[in-house]
Parts: sequence; structure tokens; C-alpha cells
Amino acid sequence: MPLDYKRQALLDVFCHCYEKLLDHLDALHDATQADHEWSEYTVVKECVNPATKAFGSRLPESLDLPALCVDFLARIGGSIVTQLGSSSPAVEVFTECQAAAEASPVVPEVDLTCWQRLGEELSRECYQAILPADSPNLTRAVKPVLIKPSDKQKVRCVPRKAAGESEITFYFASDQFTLQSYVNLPFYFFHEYLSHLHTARLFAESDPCPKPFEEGWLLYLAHDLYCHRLLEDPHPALTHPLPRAHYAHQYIQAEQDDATKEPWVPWGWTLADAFERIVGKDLLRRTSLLVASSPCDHFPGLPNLHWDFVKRVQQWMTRLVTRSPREKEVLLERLAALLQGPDPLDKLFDFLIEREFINT
Amino acid sequence: MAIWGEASYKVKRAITFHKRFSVAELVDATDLSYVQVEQVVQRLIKQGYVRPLEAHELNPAKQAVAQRVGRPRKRYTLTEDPVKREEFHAGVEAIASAERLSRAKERKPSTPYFNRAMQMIEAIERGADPPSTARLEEAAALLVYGRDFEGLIPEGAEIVQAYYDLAQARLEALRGNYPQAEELLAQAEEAFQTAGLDEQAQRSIDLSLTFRATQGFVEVVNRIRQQADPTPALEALRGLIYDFPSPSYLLLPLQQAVEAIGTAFEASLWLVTRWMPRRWSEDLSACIYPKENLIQTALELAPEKTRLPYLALYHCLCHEDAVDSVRINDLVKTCLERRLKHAPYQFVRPCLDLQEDLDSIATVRASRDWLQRALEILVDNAIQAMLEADSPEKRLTVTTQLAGKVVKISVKDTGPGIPRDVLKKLFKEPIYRPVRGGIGIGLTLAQTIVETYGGDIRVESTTGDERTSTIIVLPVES
Repeated sequence: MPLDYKRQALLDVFCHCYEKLLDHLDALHDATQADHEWSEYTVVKECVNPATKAFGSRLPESLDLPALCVDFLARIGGSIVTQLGSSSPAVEVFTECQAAAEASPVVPEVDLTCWQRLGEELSRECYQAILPADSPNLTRAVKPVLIKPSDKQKVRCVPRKAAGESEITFYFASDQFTLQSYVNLPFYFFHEYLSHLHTARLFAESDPCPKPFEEGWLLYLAHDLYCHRLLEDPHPALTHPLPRAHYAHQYIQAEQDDATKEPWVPWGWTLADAFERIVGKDLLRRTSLLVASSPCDHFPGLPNLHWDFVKRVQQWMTRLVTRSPREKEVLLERLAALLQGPDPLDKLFDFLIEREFINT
Repeated sequence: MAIWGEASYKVKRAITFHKRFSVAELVDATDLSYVQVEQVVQRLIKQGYVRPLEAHELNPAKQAVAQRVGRPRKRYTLTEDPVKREEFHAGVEAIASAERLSRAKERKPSTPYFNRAMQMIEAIERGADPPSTARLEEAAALLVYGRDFEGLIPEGAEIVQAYYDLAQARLEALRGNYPQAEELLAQAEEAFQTAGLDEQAQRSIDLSLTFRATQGFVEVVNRIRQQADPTPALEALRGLIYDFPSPSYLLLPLQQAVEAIGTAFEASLWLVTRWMPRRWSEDLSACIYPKENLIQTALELAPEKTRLPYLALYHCLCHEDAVDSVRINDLVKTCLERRLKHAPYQFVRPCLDLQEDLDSIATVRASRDWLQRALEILVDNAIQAMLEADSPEKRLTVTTQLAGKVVKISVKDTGPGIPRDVLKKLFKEPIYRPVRGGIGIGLTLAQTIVETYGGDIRVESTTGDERTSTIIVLPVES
């Protein structure tokens, strides 16, 4: 079911206030320079996040968006004054932020599809390095993001690669939608497109098992590419790159450290990280996108290509340890060459099980 | 305050994600104090793992900040020295591996190969798929593949392999290779006991006992094939059946036994009527549904799906189970309470119109469990009819009435009614509705139960508000 009016009001207020807060993070950074115990991030963690939790844990009585905005900001302001002291420069900065937020209208029924389109655009740009623009992977129909209420915040997609329209759903938990959640929205959508929607058929969609390639390895790639677009090749829509990068790192670390998850997902991430340290960013990206754009049954008799890929990478890296630096260089040159030649996927898999490197 | 080693690990772990960072960012990532993080970073600088970023290395955004304030927070990065970088990452990974090792006991198999193999094994065990050679070999290959992958994560690998041994044992039992199944179970039991997973170890032992019983069962079935008079062998079978901890393991051997004996009706009569261990009759669901599963299996193998086998089977079963003086109003209330609490039955409006003094003036001599099952079948049919047709008003009316020397229980629904052509077939042949599952013999089962206790059951379908009525009539206990 879509979001009810009250939760929609909360989402609208959060997005409006967080956008203004984001605009003032630099100023908060300056204001907390002299204080080693506080930074712009600790202000968010200690003052903004608790206000979010308190404000979002009860549904509002009225749908007066400006009044709700004032209430939310007052909670944050009160916390900053209490914790940093009324004479702190951070209070002045926040007051400016508050004024800016209250002076501008809160947009009702905030549109998250702009972030969805951005995520799609970023992913498409990555895949167009190896796929044509009209590739079925990249022209898959995807519905505008659905927003549903939930007690646990997450973004999930249903790819429907066999037929029909894919769906992305943003599960909104009103007491968990922090500044980090808001700032990470482009990344969430980017990851969904890069790892699930623009990929080939990596798996039977109903298969409940963990997926080290999709959720581990490709998440690493998404993080790497996203940070690249933030910090090295900035995208104009990704304003405030440093906090965006920082909160993306936070999200990734929390995902990898989640002890409730099966070990395969962090294993896939760690493997991609180790692979990159050996082959470098460029070969990691090219290899990953090639494998991600190939269906799971590309090779006859091998039903789960992506499981096999991660296994072969690990075995290849284990064998590589015994090679001399010169031999490693030669191997990397071969890898770079085969990725540009014909049948790169077949050659890649042959490369990963080079018989001359298998210890007898 | 976090201990020193823990703080160091947290900071190093955060660095592996941030790559370029300020102390403030690591503070936010680790929940440590600024002083702790600063100390770890400075130590890493001294050890050569981390270095400060030069001004020209800061990205434009940060350079702008530097110019604005004049005293920016420093930013750092990992060293470019590949040896030092590998040392750094190896150190972090070693601690992460130790953490995973501490959770190793919780690890379970989770590759798609294991999941698929288990689906196949379970489908064969419960009789949904035949135990063909191709299917068993495919499951075996999947388990081999899965073991190969599970070994890639060393932490907890022994425990995961023990789960594979359990699965492999079940597969070998399906192949009839019981000695190997026993060996695998022993391996699994030892691994679980070493890890302190007593519940899993016990499961291995239970499976081992089941396989031994199954092996005995199959040997007896083979003897039955060879003998003209199966009676002694069938008696031996009866003794074996008591060893089975779960009816699901019995289904496949039962099919084999029924095939071996040849006359499905006689075999099923023998096996099913003398089968139920008394310990299961305490739990209604264990009493009723596994019996029905076995009866369905036997009936599917029966050469003629006429009414006689149904009647005979249930007759024997019903008489086998203890009969008692049953209070009908109490029975009705218990039945509805059980059924209507489950989704989607919650959307049905129940109306009870029970004769108030009925329980105090009349009882019925029957097995309470079986009578309740018959009533459940009628209630389920009524509710399903209303839900399938999405009737605007979903009202279920149950009435009880003493009429002379009989008790009448009426179940009425506001569904669409039963078409005339279907009405004619009721109680004569299975009425199969794919959306409901099953093999369409529910009403016939209910009738057989009721007739066993001297009663009758009839169905009336009208065009009024309450479209279909099913009425059970039972003689009052004298």
C-alpha cells in the first residue's frame, strides 16, 4: 500500500529539513573546528538523529507541513543548545539553517524519482562502457519508485527480468529516516540499478540464497564507482560530495558488519576489495561489469556463472601469491588484453583457471 | 571506554571503507572518542601504514574549505607502499576472520546448490517426486558442488560440512545405500557434538534410527514379494512401523510395500489400520493428518477409486480409535475456534445458533477426533466457497438441534451455491478444485466418518441468501 498522509507528511518534512541541513554542513564543519569533541558529523549523530527518532516515532496529529517543520527543527535546535552550549558557534549556524528551512515552502509529496533517475543514469553510464545503449539490460522497464511504510528502512527491487516491469520499493520507517538515509538516496538507487536491474539474469529471482556476487562484489563496485562520481569526476546533481561520500562509506560498513547476514555477502565484498588491490580499479571495473552483464547460464553445464566466478577469482588470487612481480605484471597485461578482445567472458574464465598455474 | 585493541581494530576497519578520511569522519564511523581515534591514526602514521594528504592532494571541495578557514582538519590516506598496504589489510582481515570464527557455530549451508539439493531430497521423501536415478544423481552432484563452495569460507566449515553429511545421508537412504548413510550420520553427529550443537547431533541420531528401521522395512517388503502368504511378513512390518519418528519417512517405503504386495486395497488396509502408534493419538494434528496422507497414498495406488475402499479404510480407522460420548455443542465451538483463527478465515463472520441445552440432554457415541475432522471438512468447504467467489457477505452459520432421536448439525454458507451437475456427483466421485489443492475426497471422507457412527450427511443448495447447507445427522447415544 502507498504511504498514508501522515507518514508522507513526515517524509516531506524530513527531506525539506535535511536538504537545508546539508547546505549548512560546511558551515557546521567550520563552526566546530576548534572543538575536538564535536564535528559536523557528531552534531548530526548526537543532536539530529535523536530528534529524528523522537519526531518520527509518533504519527503527527495535523498535516500542517510548516508547523511540523518548525517542530522538528526546534527539537534539533534544543538538542544542540543543550549539548554544545548556547554560546557555541554551531548554534548560530543551526539558527541560520532553521531560518532558511522555515522561510522556504515544504514541498508536499516529495518526489524521490529524481534520485531514482539519477541512480539509473549513473548505472547506465557505467554499463555503456561495455554494452550498447539499446541493450535489453539497459532498456528494461522499471516503474517509478514505490514508497511503502515499514518498521525497517530499506530499498528493495524486484527485477522481473523474464518479463514485465521491474519495481523498486523504498520502505520508509519514519523513526529511522536520518540525514544519512536522505543523503544516501542516490546511492541506494544506483546500487539497485548497477547490481540488480541493469545486470543480466544473475539468478532465479525467487532463489532465497545469499549472493556474494550481486550483494557483495557488485556492492563494492557500486561504492567505488559512486565515490568516483562524487570526488574525482563530479556529477553536477551530486552536490555536497564529501558528506555524501562519508555517509556512503557508513552505509557500506554497516552492511558489511551486519552480523545477522550470511557470511557470503561480506565475503564477496572482501574478495572484490582484494581483487582490486591486485588488478587495480580499471580492471576491477571492466571485469565486474562484463561478468554482471552476462547471464548466469552463459556457459552450458554451469548454471551459476556468478558463484563460479567468485570462486575462481579466489583460487586465482591464492595461486598468484607464489608468482614473481614480473609474472604478475605479465598476467595483468594479459587480463587487460583479453577483456578488450573477442569472447572476453570465455577468455576471462579460461584465464582464471590457467593450467600452468595450478599447483600439482 | 573500548579497550585499546578493540579501538585500533575499529579504526583500521573504518579506514578500509573510507580510504581517504579525517579523524572526525572516523569518529563518526566508529563511535569512539576523538582522542582514541587520533591516537590510533598517529600510531598508524608512525608505523608507515597511513600518511597525511598534502594540500595539492585534497579535492577541490576540501581545498575550498582550507582556504576559507585557514586551519582545516587534516585528511589522511593509506600508504601507496604495496607491502605496507597488504600488511595493513591482512591485519584487519585476521581480526575479522577471528570474529567470524566466534560465530562459526551459527553457520549453516546457504549455497544455491545445497538449497536445490534439499528441495529435491525432501520432495522425493514426501512422495511428491519419484526417486528416479537421474533425480538422485542430480541431487548428489549439487551436494558435491555445494561442499566445494562452502570450503571457500573456512570459518565454520566443519559444521557446514556436517550439515552436508546429513543431507548426503538422506540421499543415500533414498538410494537404499544404508551403510553409507549410517557412516555419514556418524560423521555428522561427531562434528555437531564437538561443536556443542546437541540438537543437531540428536537429529543425526534420530535419522540413523529411522534409516535402520527403513532398511528393516525394505527387507521385509522384499520377503513379502517372495512369499505366497504375506501375513507373517505383514505382522513383522507392523512391529517395525512403531520405530518411525516421523510419518514423512514412511511414505516412500509404504508406496513400495503397497506395490510389492500387489493388492493395494488389502495392503493399505493392513498397514494403515494397524499402524498408528498410540503416542501420536494425543496430538490431534499428528493423529489425523498423517493418517490422511497415508490413506491418500494408498488410495491413489488403489486399482479402483470407488467408495468401498474409502468406507472400509475409515471404518477400520474410526473403530480403531477410542469412541466416547461426544458433546456436540462443545465440539462445534472447538472446531470453529481452531479454524477461524487462521488467515484468511478471519474475514468470515461466524453465526452460531446452538440449541442451548443440547449438551446436557444428549450426546453422540463416536470418536471425538474423527467427528471433529468431519466437521472441519464441512466448515473448510463452506469458507473456501465464500472466499473463492468473494461473496459480498461471508457468513458461516452453524446450528445444532435435537430432533427426536437424532442430533442435526447444519453448516450454511453464503457462497454461490453448488451447480446441479456437481451436486449429482457429490459423494460418488472426487470433486477436484485445483485452487484448493488436495484430491477432492473431503466430503466423501466426512460422509464415511459420519456413517461409521450410524449417521448420515446431505447437502442442499438453494438460491436464497444461505446458498448451501450441509447437514450432519447423528444418532443420539441411548
